[in-house]
Amino acid sequence: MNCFKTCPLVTGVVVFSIIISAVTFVAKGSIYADYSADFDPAEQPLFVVMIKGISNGVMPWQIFDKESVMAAKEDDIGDAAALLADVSGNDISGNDVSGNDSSPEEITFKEVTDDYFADALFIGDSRTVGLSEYCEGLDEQAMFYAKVSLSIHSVLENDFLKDEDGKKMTVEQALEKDEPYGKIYIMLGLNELGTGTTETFVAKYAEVLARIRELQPDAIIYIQSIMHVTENKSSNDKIFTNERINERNEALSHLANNVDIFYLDMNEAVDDENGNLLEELSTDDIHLKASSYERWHQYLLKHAIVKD
Amino acid sequence: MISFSNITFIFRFLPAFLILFYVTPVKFRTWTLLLGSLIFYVVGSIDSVGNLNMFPALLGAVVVNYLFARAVRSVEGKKKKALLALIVIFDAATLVTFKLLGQFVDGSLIPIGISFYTFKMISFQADSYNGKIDSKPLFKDVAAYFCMFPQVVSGPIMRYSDYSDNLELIPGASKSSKEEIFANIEDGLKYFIVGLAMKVLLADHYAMLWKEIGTIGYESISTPFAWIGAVTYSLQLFYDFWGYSLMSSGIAVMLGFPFVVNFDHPYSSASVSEFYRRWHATLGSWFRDYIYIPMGGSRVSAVRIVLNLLVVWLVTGFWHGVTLNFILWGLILFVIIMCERFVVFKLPGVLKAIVGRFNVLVLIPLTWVIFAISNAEMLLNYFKRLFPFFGAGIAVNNNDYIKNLGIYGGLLAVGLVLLIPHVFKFFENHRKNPLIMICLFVLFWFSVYSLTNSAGNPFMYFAF
Repeated sequence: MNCFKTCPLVTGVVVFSIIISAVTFVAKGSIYADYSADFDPAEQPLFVVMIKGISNGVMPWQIFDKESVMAAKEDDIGDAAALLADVSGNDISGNDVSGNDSSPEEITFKEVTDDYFADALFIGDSRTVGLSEYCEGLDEQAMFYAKVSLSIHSVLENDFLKDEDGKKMTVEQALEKDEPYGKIYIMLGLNELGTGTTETFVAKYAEVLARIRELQPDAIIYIQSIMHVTENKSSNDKIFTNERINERNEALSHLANNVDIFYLDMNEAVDDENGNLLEELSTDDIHLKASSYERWHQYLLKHAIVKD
Repeated sequence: MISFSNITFIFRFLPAFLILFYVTPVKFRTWTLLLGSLIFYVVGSIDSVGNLNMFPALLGAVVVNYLFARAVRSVEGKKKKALLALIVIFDAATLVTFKLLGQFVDGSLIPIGISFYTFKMISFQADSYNGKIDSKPLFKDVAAYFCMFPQVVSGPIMRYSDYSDNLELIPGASKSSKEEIFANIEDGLKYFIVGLAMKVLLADHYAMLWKEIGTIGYESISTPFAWIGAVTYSLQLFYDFWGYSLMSSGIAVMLGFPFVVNFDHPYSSASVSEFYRRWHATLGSWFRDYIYIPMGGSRVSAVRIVLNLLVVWLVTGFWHGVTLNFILWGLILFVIIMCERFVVFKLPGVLKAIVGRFNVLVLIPLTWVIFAISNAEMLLNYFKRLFPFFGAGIAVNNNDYIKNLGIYGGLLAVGLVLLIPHVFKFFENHRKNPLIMICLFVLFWFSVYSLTNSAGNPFMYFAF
């Protein structure tokens, strides 16, 4: 019987499955090393490793490319080095905190009107996207560099912005060429809640702050607390818990120097009495409903730093 | 693994089962089908609800139904009728009880697939009573028919006569050569791939847009977005279920069963009455054969027809879900179908055609919105945005639909084009064409790619 004549599609699918499994088998130690680490053959077929790699831009033919193979290996070393640096970096930021004996009463927040945001920039993930879409007062005044799934690790490098010519541009590049901003509001930290530790997260956050400070020396930087999720989400999820959010927020609050970097606990505006996101403000337990963004807006209006 | 659009099912369970099925001597194949189906059900239950608490409900129903069918066959006259009534009431009561338990006590108390396997059981009892099932079926045949894994979760509700037509399961009848078996598998795979792509590449992405609308809050969407939402949800439901049905029927074809048509291009219907003969056709014909006709069908007075149809649509609503919106959904469809029967169908040709199409293409999507939203206040909010005569929404962004059309417009266009029957029929008629097969091959791996990335990575669909 000629398989290819009787059932070409079945044969094709079977042969192709075998080929990609074989390729994955060969490549799982080198270019796909990152993706095979937590792979369990009892759960899924082997080629899943390769598909995950491909979705991250690692193409199977790179196995013939000596440099990629080396790069993958160096990446490992690089990651480890970065991790070490992160840990020590944390010490530095930790020092910043203890070095800064600014007591809370020094901060005097003032109430302002929407024109305060005329020279403001908002950086954030989907929640900030929502703020830009459902808070007309802010959107008319301020600039928004926000994108779904943005994290502190991708915020500077992700080229989701476009310049005047329509060319892709990173936040870092934009901050370099933009007119100086008066205020920069940041809310990041939800997407990366499942990766790294509070220490690595805060270290990266400090690094991003330093870079932003370098590019925009005169802006007031507001670190907004990571907004809570509802009780329903928090108690039914392993990763997205308010406990973990609180731990990271607490660490974030120490990055403020209360001179030109301030911490805003915006959860005050949306929490219930137990420190969870109010159920009625959200339908998916994570994002504010369109009609709830006004609370955030009002909070920002009442918590502004006005330099004399 | 309870769904067919699952990597483990596609690459492990299905191929392993197919090999075992055809390696088994014909005499024992039904056992292979039954055991394989039970394994599928057990593994699926553990995957989706984490326990096997409801597995005995399936086993119990199978045994009781088999024994009753035997008893019904062995007696005559009034006794026979009484026994039939008894088992049908038992089946219906079991279904209602579990549905209520699932709704009002705990969602995990509803056995997977009970709506579908119970309907198969009732149909089996009625067919057996009416002598539509010739020989005395053996326990293994009946059990495998009730439990067969391509249909146990969500249908289609295949009739026993279609099941027993499968020569691969009848000793001595199967004269299939290797070539014929492989040709069956090949043909089944084609339907499976088309269904998989509909589910993974279309329906699952429409679901993301529908979820996005929920996140914004219905009171805050613009009116154009509300209508796009109604279309999106309608398409999601259609391609999810049509895709599932094609996968199910594709697997059945691989095993030698006839192809069961569950969706016959409903959106090309000329009226809502026709729509529901072509949408989830095995459910519609089940209602027709086992409820509507036994109550007298259309051969009774006009008042009785209205009453019969009312019962059919109330039961249909309840079958889909216990909450009020499903009852409302059923009632509204009943009203539309009544209007069609007594008014629209009597209109002159052109007018009849226009109203009929309007009902299918505009009213049906609106009924799906009712179907989708179980909370009364939220449902009202949605309709206020669809028809913004009752005041503006809250914090509405009037450009919301432009952004989302930018993201989902292409996918929605594909879904709309596929509503035209000729597109699918072209595929069916040319499915042996090498070009079509290459397309199917690419679609298959595209779907697997999409599936892998969403399965291992909860953030693909739910990134914040």
